[in-house]
Amino acid sequence: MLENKKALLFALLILQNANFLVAICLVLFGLYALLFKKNLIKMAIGIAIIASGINLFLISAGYRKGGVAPIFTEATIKASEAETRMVLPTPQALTLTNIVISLAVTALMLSLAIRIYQQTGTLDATKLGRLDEL
Amino acid sequence: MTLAILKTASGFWNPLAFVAFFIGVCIIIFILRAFGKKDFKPSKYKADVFFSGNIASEASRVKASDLFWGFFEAMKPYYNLITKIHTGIINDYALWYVIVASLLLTVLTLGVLQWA
Repeated sequence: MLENKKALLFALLILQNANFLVAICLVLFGLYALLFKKNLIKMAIGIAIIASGINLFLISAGYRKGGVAPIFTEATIKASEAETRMVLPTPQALTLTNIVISLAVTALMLSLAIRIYQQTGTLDATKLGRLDEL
Repeated sequence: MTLAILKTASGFWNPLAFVAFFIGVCIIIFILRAFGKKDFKPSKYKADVFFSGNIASEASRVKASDLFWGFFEAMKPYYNLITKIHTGIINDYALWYVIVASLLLTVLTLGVLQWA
């Protein structure tokens, strides 16, 4: 019975922190692609996955159960409840900024990859390491 | 018009202090200059390029990179190591980035935990 209770608590802990666990997994997947994949396009995909993991982490960190948007003019709650019910806008603003930046970074990486392919005919990072031997 | 003193955590900022400092530096420079030779006359040869005591012909060329020759020579063990690390493979650079970032995060976390 006690074992069951422990297992249940553990499962609950995992479920409650599922967002953070998924965020960590995404960052680790992205790091794997960044460090071990030799194709430049796959590395770009890895960096995009890392950015997604960080977005998920930021949004999860700012989550409040039953929270409302921090807009006072359109709030459906009393002004006295604002401190306890409204969510913190900073993580959301940071996430929005990160989405835009990661989009720009992805576009830059892919355009560089296209130019590299046009110039050298390869996307293999190990071959690009010695450009004078190509 | 008042020149307010801007106090910060690491000191204060005041334009008058900067002017006073500048005047002080100028006075020191003039004193040092006064120690110079009184009988110095600029001539053609005194302005020649010093080429390590060698006779430099007009045709000889000194490359810009040669200016750093002593620097590179003195730090050869360091540069040999750094040149070997630079493989040119982007995965290795990413790995260095991850290592340095994790070290910084560790130091920051330890620092925060210490002060918390």
